[in-house]
Amino acid sequence: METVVSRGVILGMWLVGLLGGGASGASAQQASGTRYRPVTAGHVRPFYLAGVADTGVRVPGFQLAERAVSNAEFLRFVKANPGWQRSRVPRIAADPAYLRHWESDTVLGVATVASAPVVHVSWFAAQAYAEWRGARLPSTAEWELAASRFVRSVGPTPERLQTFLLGSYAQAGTEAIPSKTPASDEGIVGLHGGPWEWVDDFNSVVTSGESRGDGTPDDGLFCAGGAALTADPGNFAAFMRYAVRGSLRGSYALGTLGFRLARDASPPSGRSPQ
Amino acid sequence: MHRSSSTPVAWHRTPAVALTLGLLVVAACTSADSATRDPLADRPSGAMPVETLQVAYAPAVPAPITRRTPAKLVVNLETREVKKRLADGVEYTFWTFGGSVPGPMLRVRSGDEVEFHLNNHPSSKMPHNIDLHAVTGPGGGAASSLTAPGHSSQFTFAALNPGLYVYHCATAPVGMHIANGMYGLILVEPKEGLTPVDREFYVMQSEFYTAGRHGAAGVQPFDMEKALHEDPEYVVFNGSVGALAGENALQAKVGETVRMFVGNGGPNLVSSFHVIGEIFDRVHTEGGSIANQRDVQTTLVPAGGSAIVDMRLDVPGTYILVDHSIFRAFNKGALGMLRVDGDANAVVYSGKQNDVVYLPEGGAVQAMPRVAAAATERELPREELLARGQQVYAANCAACHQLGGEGTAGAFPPLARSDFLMANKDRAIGVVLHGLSGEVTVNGQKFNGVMPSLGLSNTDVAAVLSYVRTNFGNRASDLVSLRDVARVRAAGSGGH
Repeated sequence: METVVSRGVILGMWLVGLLGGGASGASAQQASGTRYRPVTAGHVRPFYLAGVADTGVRVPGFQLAERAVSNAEFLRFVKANPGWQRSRVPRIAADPAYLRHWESDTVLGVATVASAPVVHVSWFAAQAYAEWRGARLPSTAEWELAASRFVRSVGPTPERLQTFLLGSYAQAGTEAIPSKTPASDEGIVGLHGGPWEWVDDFNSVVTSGESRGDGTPDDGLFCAGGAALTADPGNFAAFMRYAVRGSLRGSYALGTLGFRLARDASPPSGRSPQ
Repeated sequence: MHRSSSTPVAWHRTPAVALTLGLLVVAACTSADSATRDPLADRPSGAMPVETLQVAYAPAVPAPITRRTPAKLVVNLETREVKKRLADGVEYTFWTFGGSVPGPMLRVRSGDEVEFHLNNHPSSKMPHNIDLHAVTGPGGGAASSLTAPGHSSQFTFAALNPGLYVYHCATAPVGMHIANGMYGLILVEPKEGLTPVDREFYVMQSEFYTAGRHGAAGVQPFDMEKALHEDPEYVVFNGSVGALAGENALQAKVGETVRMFVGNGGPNLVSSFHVIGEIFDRVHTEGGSIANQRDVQTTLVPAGGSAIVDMRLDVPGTYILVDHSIFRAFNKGALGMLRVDGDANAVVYSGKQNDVVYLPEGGAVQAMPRVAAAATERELPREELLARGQQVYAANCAACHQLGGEGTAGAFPPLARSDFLMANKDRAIGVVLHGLSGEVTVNGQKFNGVMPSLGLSNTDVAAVLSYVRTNFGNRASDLVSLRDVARVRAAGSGGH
């Protein structure tokens, strides 16, 4: 599984170079500003993990985009980087569902809401977009940390959040509208209730698809699935998110999956974010 | 996904076909037991014939397999998340195989090769996979079939052991994927086939854990706490309340032999499957390949398990399918119907021959157990007395006389504006203390039933009568006191 991760990263870098994007690629200056919200440091208990301290893993503070990347924003990206347009992207970087909800390579069409989160994007495309914007995708731990903070809008206990999430996840198909779901305590919109979101290391949790306890840890990586290996077998909402991530490959472009940008708390100088 | 074109009528096998299969069964009986035989022994060395598997949706069953040699079967099964009816006025977002709960029934033959394609609809929110209990291999296929929305997975297995098997989704959290409706049945026929019958039905029990109480209207979300405590609001056959009742009842005729392929998706409860008024002539306990039991009243169907039951129908009427854990049937929905048409057979069952009054010696009235101890009783102030009376009424009286005291025409006399009640206070006390049987006239209507002695304490009798005599349009000027009740009790039940 180690090889899966590194192969994905290498392939992603290669594709970004090949297809354009990245900080040194076509100009990102036209892109409108993304509003970031600080997420303060905290602890996340990795979901599939034996042998980690009960306190979990400390996640340093970082910044996360207030909203997921929209169709309009992604349209600017593919216009500036034609290699990422629907008809030109190689199958290895995005499956046939890539941007299929758009009318054409560079036209959203009447059926697509420009301000809605872009879906039908592969992990490779999301990576390329993030580099083009001088940003990155959040890690699983960062995303989970940000998505756990709903005390003000949902309730003070994890159980309240879980009940809220199960109700939200239970809605059929893609009908959930992010703007109608509560923002996190730190002002981040659409973490729950909208499309699922890519994370940088989505394939660091590899579910075998067999969810009931086969999970023999694989070379120190936590092979998934097994309830016996989870930190909290009652956390159904987390099971669902990890099952989604575990079912993905980097080229998948699902209609229920988008992404948002992240960056470090103190962005390195010389690469000022847009 | 292909819906079977079979209809219940179409499966009524003609005598000619039944006879042919019967001969084949006899011939096969001489072959070795399936457990000691290599199911792949007759696999051809070259390519096998390829067929697209025809599936059927409950209560329909795919037609019996007439093929006597192995084949390669291609199955396409779609996972889809759909909002559908769970009960009247109640909707639920089901996660399904093939858009229905239970998923379609698959029928293959021991020794067949099955090429399985699991297609997850692009609108799905969740990844899904499939664990077929008929598969020999890791996860029963689940390890090879985790499928993201808008994707398709393929794996191939050999159907080795004959029997009736559950399939279900096993994606984390597995309990929730099953609780939301992801299960169905796959029958692996023995090479020699099953004993022929006239009709076959597909019945699958399962339970649902909704946030709202049973009957609460609207779209109901899944309730994890209730699932953890194994305390469902709904227990149903074939995916919804009433799926096998009323005009959806199973149909058959007198003289036919009927087989039910019974599955239990769970996720938690074990079913005590019973058909009221029938006896299972043959049972494949736990869905095994042989009919190992005869003459069974109720058979256990484990969660994630099955049973095959055969019954010959001798008498017309409606037979009720239940989980004999009986509150599930009458209060949570686990109730189906088999309607049998044909001529009556008075030798087997006479029907009701007579109905007479039964008066055992020592009084007709049954007594319920005494509950309260007289030593603690005392007169209560008016407000407290009436409040207690309301509680006693709701707990003991309202079931028959109704919450508003209106009674039920022809069965339970009204207490509202009741001339009988108000005419004689002591008589009313006596009725509550000792019960009442025989004909009475209340507000001009005749009633002839039995009210049991309720075993109430003197305080509760005083309270409930004070309440009833000052409510429901009754205008008593006085309350009933503890002393009144004690006096009537001391006088005994001779007056009634």
